[in-house]
Amino acid sequence: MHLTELRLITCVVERGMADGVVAAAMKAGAPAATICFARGSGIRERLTLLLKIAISAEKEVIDIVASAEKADAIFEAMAAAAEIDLPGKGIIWMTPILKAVTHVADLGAAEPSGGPGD
Amino acid sequence: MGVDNGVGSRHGQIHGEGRIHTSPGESLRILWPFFRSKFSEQAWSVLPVVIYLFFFQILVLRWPVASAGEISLAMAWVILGLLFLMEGLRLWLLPMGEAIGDGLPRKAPLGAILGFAFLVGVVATLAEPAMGALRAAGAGLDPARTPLLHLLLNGWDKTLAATVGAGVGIAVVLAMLRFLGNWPLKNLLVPMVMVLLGLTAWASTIPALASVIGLAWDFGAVIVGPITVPLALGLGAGVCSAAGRSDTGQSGFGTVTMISLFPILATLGLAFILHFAGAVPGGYPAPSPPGAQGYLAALLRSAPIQGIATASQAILPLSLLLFAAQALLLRDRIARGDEVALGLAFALAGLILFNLGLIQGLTPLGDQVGTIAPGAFSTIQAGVPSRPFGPLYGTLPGKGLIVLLALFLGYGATLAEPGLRAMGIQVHEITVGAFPRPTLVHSVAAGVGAGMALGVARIVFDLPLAWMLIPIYLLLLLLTLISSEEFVSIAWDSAASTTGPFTVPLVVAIGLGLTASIPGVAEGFGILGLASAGPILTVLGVGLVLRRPVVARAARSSACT
Repeated sequence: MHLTELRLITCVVERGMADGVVAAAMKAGAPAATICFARGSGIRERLTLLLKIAISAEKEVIDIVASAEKADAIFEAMAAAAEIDLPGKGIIWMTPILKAVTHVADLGAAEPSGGPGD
Repeated sequence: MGVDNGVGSRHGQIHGEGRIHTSPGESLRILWPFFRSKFSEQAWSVLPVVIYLFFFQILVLRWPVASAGEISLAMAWVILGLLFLMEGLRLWLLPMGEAIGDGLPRKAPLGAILGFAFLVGVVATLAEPAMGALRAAGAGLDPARTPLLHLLLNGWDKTLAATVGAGVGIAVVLAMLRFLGNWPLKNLLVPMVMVLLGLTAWASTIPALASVIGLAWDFGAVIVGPITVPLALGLGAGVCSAAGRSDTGQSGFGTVTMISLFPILATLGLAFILHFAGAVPGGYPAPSPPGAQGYLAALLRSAPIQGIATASQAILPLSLLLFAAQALLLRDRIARGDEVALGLAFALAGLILFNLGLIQGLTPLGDQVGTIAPGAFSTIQAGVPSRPFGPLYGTLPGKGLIVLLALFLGYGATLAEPGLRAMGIQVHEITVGAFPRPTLVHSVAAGVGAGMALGVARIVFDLPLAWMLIPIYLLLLLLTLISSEEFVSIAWDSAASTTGPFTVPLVVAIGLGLTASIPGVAEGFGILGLASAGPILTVLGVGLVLRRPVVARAARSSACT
């Protein structure tokens, strides 16, 4: 039984910011989140000195899989919580998922389309 | 909010090359939360301890806080100073230490590396701000009652500082050799502590030397502050990764422990030499000559100038040494040079502010609480003009109250120490969360509280320090032998980094204040020394409980530091 009509939301934020962003995502209906540590480069180096030191090069990457109908609300909530429009604060993007398998309840409202409508 | 629009309009910037321009509003939205979180972090660590001491003095000792306004203002300097100092060390000292530690093994022969490590040890020791607090405390000692201690801290203070610095230098060299040779910490730690305990036991049988024991063990706690710890860890991490040795896991840990043990040996050694060379019976040192008189001298002694002078003496030689190593040994440009330069400026400004707050706030506060506290169990002379005060409570409840004061003070002040917080994060990452940062921080804090209570108890009950040090450290050795290598390093290191620039002046001032008001007690050192032993005990204990999962996970991560 494969799940379809899913979206993957990936959000890169500074180290230590992920918890707040995940909380906002959960509030907007995200079923679960995976957080990895990472290191970024590019934007930070091009900021002025004083702003540079306020932006951590250490990052956290949040992956959230959600049903298509909830994905937009989750995406907007995360972008707002992360203040992602500020330079150096990170990036967020959304991609379609071809198929996925997990314990069904984990994805909340996601309807298993492959099953006989349970 | 229009995230899509924002990103769309910035496409040029995302693919651009030059500086990103931010509007003042955007800059403020980036900087303000950053500053606010750093500020509240320091404020939450400093203010509770200060408010606690205020309340203790007013409610329990029923004595008004002298110059409360000035002390409160000074606390603002302490908070801002710690904020800028910590940011400065993060941007300047840590990257430079790591870059040098990383580059040296590839570009310089072993002899040059060890020579540099020795120099770093000496200069970093002289840079530690808490060193000055301990030495200044010696000025108030009575030369007739503790001649050797007085001599060490007054006439011979430069020799003492140099000896301790050399001790730290040797410790840093040994720590590097330990990385390269992959020696377990236990093999160095156990013989070293046994030698120290033997010397302490011997010194306790000679009255003149017994008074030095407290100072010697305090040095171990004082030396490892916000400058030595990150520098030694950064250098160690670099050497460790360059050597490609990571099979013992946390070999980076343990360095701090060795740095804390060698000054004890150096101080005791110098005291023994002075004693047996007959420096003391030959005559007491002449009273130090009064400083130059006049307006200029008064200005030079004023708190702001003192703060600037002390901070510059602490930061500048060390930065010169590091820049010289970068230029001469590495022959390389400094990565992120602008951030390093800003960090250096921050560290200097932070230390100036902190020293100002120390002179005007921390030391006066600790001193007055310590001086008034014996009024809880005896009659003392206090206030200006002095009048008899106390006893407020019975002898035993009064003394018990003071011990309780120390217990909670040690717990609270330890939570405030930035060195410990940094270590908490590292330990959390190395043990992959099995030893969470709060668990480490609170077990260390509880240990410091218990140790400090014991140290104060030994002053108010007038007991020999060696009676407490020797059994406690023997117990520690036993626990060390049955604990796993990584926990031995974590426990001994976290103990060494508990007492930083915030705790040391407060506790030293309280100890000396107590001594001033309790007749028969010659010196008030040793509280810090005992306060370092407590957390080793608690962390090793917690470690034995948590041991199994941590060892398994730590082995898998096999990190170098």
